[in-house]
Amino acid sequence: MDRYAFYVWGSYISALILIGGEIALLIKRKNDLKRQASLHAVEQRRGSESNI
Amino acid sequence: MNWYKYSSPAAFYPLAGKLIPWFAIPAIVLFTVGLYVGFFVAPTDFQQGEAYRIMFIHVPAAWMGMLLYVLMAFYAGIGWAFNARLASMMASALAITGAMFTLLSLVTGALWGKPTWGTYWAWDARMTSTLILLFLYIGFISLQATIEDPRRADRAGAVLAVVGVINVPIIYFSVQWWNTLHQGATIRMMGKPTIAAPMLAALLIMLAACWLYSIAVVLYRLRVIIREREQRASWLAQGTAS
Repeated sequence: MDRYAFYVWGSYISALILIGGEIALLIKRKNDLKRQASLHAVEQRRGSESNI
Repeated sequence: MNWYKYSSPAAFYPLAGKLIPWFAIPAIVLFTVGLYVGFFVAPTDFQQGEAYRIMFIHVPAAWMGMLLYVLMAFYAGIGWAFNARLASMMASALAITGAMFTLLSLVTGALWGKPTWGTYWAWDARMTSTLILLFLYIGFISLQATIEDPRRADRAGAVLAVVGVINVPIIYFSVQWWNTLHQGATIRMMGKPTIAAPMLAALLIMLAACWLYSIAVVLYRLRVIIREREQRASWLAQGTAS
């Protein structure tokens, strides 16, 4: 393996980085969306309270 | 059972949530088994030595890049022709995973090319057409991101996806149509494969793992896209979605 270690490990490490990156970005996108939704809900509640 | 009801984002959202673990857990198991068979059971190749083990990630990644593009074009086309919102959302959800696999196939292909051909990159038909596939994915994703109105973004993306699908058979048959540096197909749809059984087993297990991973991730992304686009829909606002 030693002669080709760089290429073989390089391939699997790049796979790990790309797949891990895809999953991390997806989770971040979902969390951002959740945060946005909860902020929106708080603003709406404040708006309805001020109307009262 | 009325399957048509699942063409509505409201009905599909909870179903997708239930399906994700059924694909994600087997994907992790199959990745582990595939890597074990690929590294510890499959013998060393007499020509390429240990470098051939890159094939276990390179080949499934290349196949997934092509197959996901065809699926993306299919869903984008359905969404365009029938004004089906969920189909367009599915096309958007498929694009990033397809682009990731195409990029992975190019990176691992370069790392395979150096020890076997003596170069990381050559402008040969297979590699160039795969690079064009990556550009098509990037074009689709960019179009969707830059056009604010989702319906218009879906239509523009669908035109690009449907036209670009012509590139997939070009990639597949490039090694037959042109004299390329890239080797011919080792596994054919018809006819016996030309590799040893443990190598084939590792390859097929890794391919199955990539399929299951793609389904799980695409369903997860589809749920996120549904939430983004249907924020004001009553079924989401009432918190009925699980």
